Amino acid sequence: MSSATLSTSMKGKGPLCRFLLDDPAGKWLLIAVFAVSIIVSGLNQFVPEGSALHVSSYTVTLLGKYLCFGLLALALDLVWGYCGILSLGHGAFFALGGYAMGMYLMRQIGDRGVYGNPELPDFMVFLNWQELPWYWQGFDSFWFAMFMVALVPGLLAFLFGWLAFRSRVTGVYLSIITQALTYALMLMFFQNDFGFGGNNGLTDFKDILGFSLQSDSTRVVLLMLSALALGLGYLLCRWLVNSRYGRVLMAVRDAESRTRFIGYRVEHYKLVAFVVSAILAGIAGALYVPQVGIINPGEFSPINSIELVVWVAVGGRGTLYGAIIGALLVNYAKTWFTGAMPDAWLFALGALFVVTTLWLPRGVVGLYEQAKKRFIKPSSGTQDKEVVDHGR
Amino acid sequence: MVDKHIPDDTLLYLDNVTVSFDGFKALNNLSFLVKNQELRAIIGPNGAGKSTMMDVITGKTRPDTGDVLFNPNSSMQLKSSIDLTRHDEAEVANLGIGRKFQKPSVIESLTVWENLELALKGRRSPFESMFKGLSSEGANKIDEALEKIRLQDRRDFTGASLSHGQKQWLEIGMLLLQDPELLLIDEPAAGMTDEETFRTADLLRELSSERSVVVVEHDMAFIKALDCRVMVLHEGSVLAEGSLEHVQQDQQVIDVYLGR
Repeated sequence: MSSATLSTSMKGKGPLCRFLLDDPAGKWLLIAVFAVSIIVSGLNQFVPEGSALHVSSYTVTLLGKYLCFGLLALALDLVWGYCGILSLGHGAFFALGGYAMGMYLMRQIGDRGVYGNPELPDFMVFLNWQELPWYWQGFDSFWFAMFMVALVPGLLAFLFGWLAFRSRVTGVYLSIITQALTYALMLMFFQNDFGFGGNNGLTDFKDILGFSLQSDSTRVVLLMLSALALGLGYLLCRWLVNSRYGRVLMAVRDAESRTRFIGYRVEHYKLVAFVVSAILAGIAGALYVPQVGIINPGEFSPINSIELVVWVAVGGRGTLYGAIIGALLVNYAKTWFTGAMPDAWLFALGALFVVTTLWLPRGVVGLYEQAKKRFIKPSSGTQDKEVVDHGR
Repeated sequence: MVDKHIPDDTLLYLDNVTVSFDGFKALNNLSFLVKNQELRAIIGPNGAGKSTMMDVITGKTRPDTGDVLFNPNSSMQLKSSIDLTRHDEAEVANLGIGRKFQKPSVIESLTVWENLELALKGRRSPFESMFKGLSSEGANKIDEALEKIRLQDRRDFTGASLSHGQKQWLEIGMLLLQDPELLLIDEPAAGMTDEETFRTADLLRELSSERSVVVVEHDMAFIKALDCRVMVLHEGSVLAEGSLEHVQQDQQVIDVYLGR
């Protein structure tokens, strides 16, 4: 509620400064993410394997995976929490980014595959293909592949969003067609002829930029890169939602038609948010794939996108940091459940969603806010006063 | 495209506008014009087509037939005549037509100040909204508007926390900052106290010294306070037009509306 006054009073001090002062929760979350990543990396790299303090490479990768999910949840929160676009197909952008990275990793295998073909990935040799299809060209270059990681999800989001938002498809209808989008992509990627490895997907990766994916140091670097991507993604989203652009997004979320009558091209605003979000999701997917070592069409399955919505809802939407916290919490719970009682996980997930919908409309983050309000109630009046004094 | 005679100082021109929904004619050959800096009140029973008329002018509804022109006499005003039926809501708003809804619709999650900033004229593209800061001139305009709508002490409260009357005022403030040439206002006095109603009438009269204002209203005391030309709408077309006294004495008007 204080963003306007703060942004006017701190004009010209740079987005990072404004961010640090305006968003303590986000600041502490990012500090915690970096601290844990660095500690886990250090304990993995510098503590000998026999020691009680040693962290296994499994844990390093697991944490890296969580951070990728955090970035994905952040991407969804930008469009859902701030613009009211409930995308039930955001997993598609994640998977496309993952496939772009997977294609690069496949090309890196070279002649070390089962069939030893220096040019063609194993699945193409198996299908008796004679040459690399045109859409695989260029993926031997790391930077080209990284460009595609952003371009492919971004372009799909642009085309899809342009058509959907221009036709004023909103609410449940939009959710359903995003779901259809990811489902259609899943069916396409399942086809062997489509040229992306069919239901096996892309796997058996060997190395990235010459570094072995099996080595602990590569895994640590990937973890740190995931933390960095999450941090930068967070700063970008925070900057966007704190700017006037973000306030227009919220206006669209709260009163779309009113915002049109003020003179804003609502579809353009939605489109920008949707494309930025898709690119962030693509980057998350690209960091995810080398860490888990596989990408297959299952990543497009609608249930993944729905789970993603649950993460954001559980964490608390419309806060950015809540989405990340939700992704980390739910995925940690998932890891624990699938280890301890695998059959119970889906029930637990369902229960979590019901509890969140019924009692925690603003998620775990909202629970904290509620508690704070209840126990430190008298200061709420002075808080408003403070804000007034703050502005100019 | 305009071959009919339209008076020189016309800002908005509707000619034979018809809109039908499933055979029901919400507007039936509606024709009228609004002059520059004119204050005009429109009354009419429910279903007379008042909202549809607003929708047509603001680009929300496309008419089946008829012309809706903004600045029709292009040669006189150095501005081009604009066919409003070819533009959508955002474009119409940026051409200089502001609209206030019956239900106060301010952005609930934004503060009073942020609502006003949102409405401030200019800087409408996503790119501008990210990189173009607020000019000091713009900030002054917002402060002036805050003063005018008497919400200075509420500037950092969210829209959701305002009372009904305060929301109405905030919305009027937002319209001021949009700085439109034509202002369409739907039942501004609804839910206001008597004192607020008269204050609103004063403000609207004041506003009409710089722009044209069209007010749709039911409250006769309010219309009397506006002291302007009144148009009675019935079944999608104009039933009577003139001073309040004139239309109040019109037998047809009494039959369909006032006499009830």
